Amino acid sequence: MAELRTFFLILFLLSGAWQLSAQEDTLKLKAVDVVETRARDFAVGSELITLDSSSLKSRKGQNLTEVLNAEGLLFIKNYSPGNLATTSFRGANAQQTVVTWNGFNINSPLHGQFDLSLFPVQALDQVQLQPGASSALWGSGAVGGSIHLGHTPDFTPHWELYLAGQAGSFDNFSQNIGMTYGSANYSGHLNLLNQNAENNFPFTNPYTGETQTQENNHLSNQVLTSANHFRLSSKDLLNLHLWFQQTDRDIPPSLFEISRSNQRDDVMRISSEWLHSFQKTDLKVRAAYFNEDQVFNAITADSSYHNASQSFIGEVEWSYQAFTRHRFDLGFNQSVFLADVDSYNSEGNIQQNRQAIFAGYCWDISSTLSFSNMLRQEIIDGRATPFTFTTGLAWQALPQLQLKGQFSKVYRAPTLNDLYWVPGGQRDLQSEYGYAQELSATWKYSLKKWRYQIGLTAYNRNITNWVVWLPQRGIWSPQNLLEVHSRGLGSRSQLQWKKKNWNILLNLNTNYTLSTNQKAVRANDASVGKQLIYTPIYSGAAALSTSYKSYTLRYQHQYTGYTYTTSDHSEFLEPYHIGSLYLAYEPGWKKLDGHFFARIDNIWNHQYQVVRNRPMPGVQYSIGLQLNFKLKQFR
Amino acid sequence: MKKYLFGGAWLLLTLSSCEKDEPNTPDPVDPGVQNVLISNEGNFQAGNASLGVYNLETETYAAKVFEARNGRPLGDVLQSINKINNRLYLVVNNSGKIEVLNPEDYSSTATISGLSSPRFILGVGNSLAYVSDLYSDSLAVVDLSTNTIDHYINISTNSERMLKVGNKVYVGHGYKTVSGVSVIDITTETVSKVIPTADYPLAMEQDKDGNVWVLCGGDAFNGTPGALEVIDPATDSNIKQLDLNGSSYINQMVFNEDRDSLYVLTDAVYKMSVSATGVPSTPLIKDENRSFNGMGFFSDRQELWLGDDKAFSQEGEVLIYSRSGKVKSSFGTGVGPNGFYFD
Repeated sequence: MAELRTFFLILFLLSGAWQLSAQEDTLKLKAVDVVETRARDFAVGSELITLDSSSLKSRKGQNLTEVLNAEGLLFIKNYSPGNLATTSFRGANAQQTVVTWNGFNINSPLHGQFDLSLFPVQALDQVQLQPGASSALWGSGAVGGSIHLGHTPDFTPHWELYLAGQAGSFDNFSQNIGMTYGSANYSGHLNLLNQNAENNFPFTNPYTGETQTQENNHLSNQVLTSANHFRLSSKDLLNLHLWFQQTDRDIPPSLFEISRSNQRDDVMRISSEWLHSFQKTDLKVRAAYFNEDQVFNAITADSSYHNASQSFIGEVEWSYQAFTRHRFDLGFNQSVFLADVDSYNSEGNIQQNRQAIFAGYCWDISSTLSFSNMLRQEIIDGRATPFTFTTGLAWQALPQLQLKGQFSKVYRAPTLNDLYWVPGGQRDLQSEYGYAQELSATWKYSLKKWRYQIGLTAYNRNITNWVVWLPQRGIWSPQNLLEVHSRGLGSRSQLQWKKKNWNILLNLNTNYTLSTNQKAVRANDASVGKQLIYTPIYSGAAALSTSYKSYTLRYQHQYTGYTYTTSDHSEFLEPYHIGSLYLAYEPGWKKLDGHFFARIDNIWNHQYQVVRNRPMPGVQYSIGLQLNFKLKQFR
Repeated sequence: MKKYLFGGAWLLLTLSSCEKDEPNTPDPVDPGVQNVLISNEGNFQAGNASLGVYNLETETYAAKVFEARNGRPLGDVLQSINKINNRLYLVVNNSGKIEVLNPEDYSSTATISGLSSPRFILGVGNSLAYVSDLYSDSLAVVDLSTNTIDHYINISTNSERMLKVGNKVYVGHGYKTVSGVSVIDITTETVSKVIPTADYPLAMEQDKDGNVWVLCGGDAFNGTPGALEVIDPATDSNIKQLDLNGSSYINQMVFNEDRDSLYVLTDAVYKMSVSATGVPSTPLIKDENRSFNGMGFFSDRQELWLGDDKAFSQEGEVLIYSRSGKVKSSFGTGVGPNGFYFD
């Protein structure tokens, strides 16, 4: 890929050039993170969970799929390792989760989903989760929750080069090389990743008991990411992010299928943001361009389908701090989507224009009580979508106890596929919308070497106009039919014991999710009142991590309860327990830092399926190393 | 500290869930009783195709008969069932195979494999059968004595329904490529003529006069409407064309016992005489919140059987109507009932 090489060169030169002009600038500038600002300031009733950097590190060679699975905060519908993986947050569906990259929505405008498996761990820097309804913050689709991918700048002076390699079962190999650079006015991170896997794992056919080998599961993936933060002056910050990726995947057949297919994805993402600080005001101007090009080859049918989309996003946001206790936020977003999809049968590109205006207000009523409100109105192709809001309260009731509450209106607009697919697309399809409430309590307690934290959340959500594709004269067509009631309880607990060289950490996350269809959409419909398909009622994960000096040993365990695969519950998948063990040694020397690890996934060799008749691998082994060369250190 | 730990333990306990039971199903083998076989297509890629057996005397439905008898699931997408020389042939489309069953007890006697995307099987005599295919541009000729593919007949198009008339086989081209019906001479195994039709010729039946009726669904992607075409087998040319309103991917056609009137299922069920000059504008049976996918006419009782696939997301239902369109009874089936074989 010639363009990858060119970019690498340009960025290398750019980084080097910047180093020469590096200046010592001690002026501090406040954080520019869109996600942080919006989620923490204007949705005080919700929680923003930043994943521990070591939990990313321990999943090298894998994808965002495995990282989030191990956390146990949401359900992931994964077809096969390295293949399509979509999320279900709090009983919502895959289109009802928003994923942002540097604050920009990266869900596909074509189908409204995103594929976690297209995000290799080594290309990720920071992952944050925001469970709960947040359409007022992130727009259409933020119904069940949102996932935020970002980069944290590091302005401490340093220059490091790193090399990493990883090898695992079933010919799983990945290599990456990268560089991080920091000075007072520039922070840069450049990363190149190459990943190849056969994933031809053995599995036991659950019907015949025979051992079979997974076929047609090859994966090849190359990613270049570059994160650049420039401190132009004491009042100006500029960032530029690049993400280039090409992925070639074979799609394995389901158990009884003979057909073969292959999918190729080429992705380019660019985003930039400029922040200017006035005395009490911040002005942020940001823009992004995404280009996704997918070719799906149905090999057996000897046909291929081309699905391409481009997104142009521009946003202006103005925040104002008044009387120390009041913060205001006002923004405008303009997005244009272009789609070139074989199945739209259109003469050219389909274009969709979206405008959004949003306003936030946060009031620190007292040192223990905060109130926030955010409003958002979007207009899609000249049609107003449901007006959304998020109102929240956070109260530090006791030094150890924090209570939060949130009330939101949410919505999800139809996707371009919903509108334009031929045959069946419905141009007059309405947005899904509804209301969500949640209450949470977090108890934190410390005693000598012990630290304990337990968080409980109860939520409720009612969505109407839920889109469902139904056949009519054999032609599938989307309709605003379902009414879905989701409610549940979640817990997040942590127990830590720390002493000199020792650090022992126990995590437990549990979910109880009821998400039921309330409305009959077919004659004699047996799905009414029943749990939605691929939405386990019970799930959870636990992790025990022990660190001693440079050594870490971690055991993670994940449980998923019964999952229904037909809406009348006539078919279901058995519950499964998955354990994984990770051992790492991370020495630090004067000129070199290292990370050596060994990992065993599915250590109990459990045979299971997440999607009906799509077998998952049993025990898998992997090892890896990373060397960070400290090329230059500043005092 | 202890009580918080107990709190965590309690949360873990709530993770345990109830056991699931499989429902009981009656024995499909009831000697001397007439049965109706129901092909449950199953949801594409879910591997939940199944064979159902409805006992007309006890009015009970035996589910997943193939799996119960043979200890393995049937496969992915059961497209059609046919009976040739006292053997049942279950064409399992997305598994690329045909299961051969003993009709007495539904035990599997052989599996015909190596097919690409088989749709229908038709016996042509001399222990041979033709298999149509959604993706292949030839018909597979199966030797029924060895249950293997003997050779292929290249027809330069994909194929759907087949109909044997004398020494000829009419092959509907089905989806895509060139719209029409190929006429194959069984003796020479060559295409003697291609009769052009409206797009997507998907169902074929013979009326009382021997004329071949072809139901074309029309192409919904390109927006061409469907039609009924009537072919005179003496000349192999079209003698009548009746236009349908819009296009449909569901296309089933059955004749009554005297073969002088027919039922057409597209968006609803329409009943008409073979002498009709147009398709009636009002349907006999409306598709009210149902998705009818399979249709059969049970001559012995003059009943119309319809399968509701309920969008393949749950188990389907069969509704039995009188020939005037009144519901007589119904029963639940497997996922996606798409056809009947009145044994």
